[in-house]
Amino acid sequence: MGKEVKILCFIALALVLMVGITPALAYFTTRVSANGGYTIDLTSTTSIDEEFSDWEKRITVTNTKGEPVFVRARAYAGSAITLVYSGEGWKAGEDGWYYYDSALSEGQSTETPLCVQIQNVPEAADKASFNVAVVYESTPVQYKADGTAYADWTMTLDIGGKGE
Amino acid sequence: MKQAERSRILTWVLLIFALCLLIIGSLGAANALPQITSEYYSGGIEMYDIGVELIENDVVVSSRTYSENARYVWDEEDGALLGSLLAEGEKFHLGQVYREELCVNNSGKIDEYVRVTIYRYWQDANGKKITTLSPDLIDLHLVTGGDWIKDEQASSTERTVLYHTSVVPAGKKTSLFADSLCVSGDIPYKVTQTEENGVITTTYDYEGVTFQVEITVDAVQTHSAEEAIRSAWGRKVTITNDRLSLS
Repeated sequence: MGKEVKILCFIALALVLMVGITPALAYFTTRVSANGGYTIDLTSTTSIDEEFSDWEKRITVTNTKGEPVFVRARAYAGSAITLVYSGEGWKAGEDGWYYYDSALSEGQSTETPLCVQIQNVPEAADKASFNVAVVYESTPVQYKADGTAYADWTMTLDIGGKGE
Repeated sequence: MKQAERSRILTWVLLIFALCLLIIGSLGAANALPQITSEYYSGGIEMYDIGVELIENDVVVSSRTYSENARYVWDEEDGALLGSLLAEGEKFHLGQVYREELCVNNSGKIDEYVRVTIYRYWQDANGKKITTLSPDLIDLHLVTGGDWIKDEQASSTERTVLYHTSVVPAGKKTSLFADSLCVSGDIPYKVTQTEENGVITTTYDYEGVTFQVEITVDAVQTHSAEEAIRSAWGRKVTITNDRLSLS
């Protein structure tokens, strides 16, 4: 087949395709899109401050950086010792912990300290060697469907799920 | 007859054949055009004005309409989704249910069929998609079972495709296809622990990542809708009495 014939065949095929394509381009369509989202911040840093005088420990917890948290605290001592707790905003739980009733945002501290009065101290005890251990914990603020903040101390870490 | 002469004759035959095809094709189009034009012209020249808008909480966030008012060019408006979810200074709360009412408006002057494609995913600080984090924790609550049906074949964990089963008349809105958004409150408890030299380090799986909701709305003409949808969207549908169903 000569070159001239090949060119004509190509032109004929192109014309046929052009005729066929025209109806396919006749549909009216349109499209819109939009996207958005928010970044998740989870980290928080808290610190505890203890003052001790007159056989009383005064505990203040501060959210030094990050997301809002709820906090709880308690003290441990020998069985002969009696610990008496007090402090506005601190509520006793059935599990021995004392729960601060407000969430602490970044930079906020507990407004009133948790006071732990140490009673029945043995006469031989001295302040330098006497040991009452104070511990505290924080948990991220959780939100109900209506936006009400609450603490869920029963949640456990889901380790190793790789986000699933 | 010599070989050269036969080739020349064949060449001319093919040339005439090609010209015939061109003329026939042109005549066909020329014949069809007045019929189609007259049919649509009876309703006005709005036949070209197809348009669609995505509406979030009663506000248009994105639109694309072919408009005679804009001298027959696409009148487009792009906006951000979820941009009005929070008040000034407010932070997004995990676990809280936010109002996220989404629907589609036919902003054109011809009736149309519409579908929406919803993507939910996580991305890092560089905007790169993270496929190991779960889209299921981004709960965009869908309203299906009424006018909207889910295309199970085309949907996945990340992507959901919904078809509106009835024609959306010009200037009318669809019913809602989503009504709320909630990102799981379990996220702070999903962690990974690593141990090095006896030191255990716990890191949040979702710290610093961004959840994304992306929505695309497609609209197509109702004339020859089955063929138009097959051609434009690649999906075979059946339309009976103006009701669309997935084949």
